[in-house]
Amino acid sequence: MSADRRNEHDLDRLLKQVLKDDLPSETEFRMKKRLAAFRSAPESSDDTKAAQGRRWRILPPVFAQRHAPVGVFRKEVLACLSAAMLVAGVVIHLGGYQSLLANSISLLKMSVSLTEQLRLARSMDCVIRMPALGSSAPRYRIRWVRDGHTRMDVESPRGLERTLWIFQGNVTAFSYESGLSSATPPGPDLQEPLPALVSPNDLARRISETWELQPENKRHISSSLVFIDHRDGATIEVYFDKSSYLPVSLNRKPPKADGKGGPGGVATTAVFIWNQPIEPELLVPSLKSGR
Amino acid sequence: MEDSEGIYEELIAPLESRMLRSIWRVVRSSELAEDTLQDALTIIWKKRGMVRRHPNPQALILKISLNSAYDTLRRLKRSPRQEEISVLNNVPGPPAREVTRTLAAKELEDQVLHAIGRLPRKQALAVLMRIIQEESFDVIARALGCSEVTARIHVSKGRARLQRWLAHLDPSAGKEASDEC
Repeated sequence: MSADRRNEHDLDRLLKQVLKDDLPSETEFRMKKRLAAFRSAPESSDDTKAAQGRRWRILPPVFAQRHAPVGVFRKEVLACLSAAMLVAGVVIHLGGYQSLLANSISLLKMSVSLTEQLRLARSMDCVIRMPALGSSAPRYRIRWVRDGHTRMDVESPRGLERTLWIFQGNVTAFSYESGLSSATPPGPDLQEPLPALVSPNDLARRISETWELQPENKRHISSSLVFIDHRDGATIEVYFDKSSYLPVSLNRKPPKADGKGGPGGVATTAVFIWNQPIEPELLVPSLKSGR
Repeated sequence: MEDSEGIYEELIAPLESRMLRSIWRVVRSSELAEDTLQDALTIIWKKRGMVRRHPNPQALILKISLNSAYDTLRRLKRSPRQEEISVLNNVPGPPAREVTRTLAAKELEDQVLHAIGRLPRKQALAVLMRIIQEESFDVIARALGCSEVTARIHVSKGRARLQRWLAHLDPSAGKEASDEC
C-alpha cells in the first residue's frame, strides 16, 4: 500500500470515527417530530419560534396560516393596517392639518438647495438699490465670476463714482472723480447687505451660518424664504427660481423703529442674474476697464 | 397540504433515517441537528420541483441535508459553539478520568468539524458524501451536478486538504480515546 493510500485510509478512518453514526435516540425522536410537523403540520408542533418563522415564510399558505408565530403579522392584518393608514392620510389631507415638522423640513430642504446652488454658480450679476435712502442713494452693481474675481461699481445719480475689484481678500478701488486708484483691505464702509452679496459663496455662508430661517410664510412658501439677521434684527426675504433654486431677488428690511418687532420698510433690494457671460477684462483692475 | 404530504411520502420518507443520521454525523449537536433538519426541509420544499425532476432525487435530498449541515458548521465557525445542554444534565458528574477522555474526544471532534467547515463547499460535500454516506462517484456527481471526473477531483482535493490540516492528529490515538469513551 502506498503512503498516499495509507494516508487516505487513515483519514477516512479518522473521519468515520469522529463523525460516527451515534444519533441519540432522544435527538432522533425530536428530529422525527420535525419531520412529522413538515408532513402534516399538526397544531401540537413544538418547533422553536425561529424555526416556525422560517417555515412560515416559505411553506404553502395552509401551513403559513397554521404556523404563523405570535407577533408576526398576517397578510390580512397588514392589509387592514394599510387601509387604515390610507384613510388617515386622506383625513389629514382633507382636514387641512399641516405638520409643523413637515413644513420645517420642507423649508430647511429649500434652504439647503439654495445654498448648494449658490455654491455651484458660475457667474453672478447683481444690482442693489437702497430706495429707503431716497433718490440720491447710490446704486451698486456687483459682478462675480467663479474664479473669485468680483467687481463692484458704485453709481450715483450723477454717474459712475467708484469701482472696487475684490480678489482673494484684496480690494483695489478706483475713484472716477479723483482719478486715483488705491489698494486697500476690505473696507468697513460696505454696509449690509453688500458684504453678503460680494459673491455667491458669501451669500450661501450667510444663509447657512448667520441668518436664521423663519417658519413658513404661506404666501411665498413655494418660492421664497425668510431669514432674520440676529445682529441687527433685519428681516431678509429671498425669492428664488423654483427650477434652478438660485435667488431672483433679495429684500432686506430693517426692524421697525418702534421696537415692536416685525420688518419696517424696504431698505435694500437686490436683483440677480445668474450664469451669464461676463467680460473678463471687466474683472481686472484697470483704469480703462473701470470706465 | 396534500402537496407536502406527497413530497414527504414520495421523496423524504424513504430517506428519513439517512437524512437524520447524515445531519447528526456532521453537526453532532441535538439542537443544531434539529435546526439543520428544519433548514434542509425548507430547502427541499422550496426546490421541490427541481428535486422531482432530478435524475437522482434521493442523492439530491441527501446532498441538501449535508449542505445544510455544512452551513451549520460554517455558522459555528463565526460564533462560538454552544455546548450541549444534555452534557450538563449528566448528574452526577462523570469521574475525572472520564471527563478527560470526553474532553479529548470533544477536542478531536471540534478540530475535524472545523477542518470540514474550512473546505470549499463542493469539496466538503463530496468528501462527506463519499466517506459518510459511502456514495459512488457517479451518485456524488449527479448530486453535485458535475461530471464524475470532477466529483473525483473534489473528493481528492478535499481529502488532501483535510490530511494537511489534520496532520497533527494521530488517528489511532483518536480511535483509542473514542473506544474508551
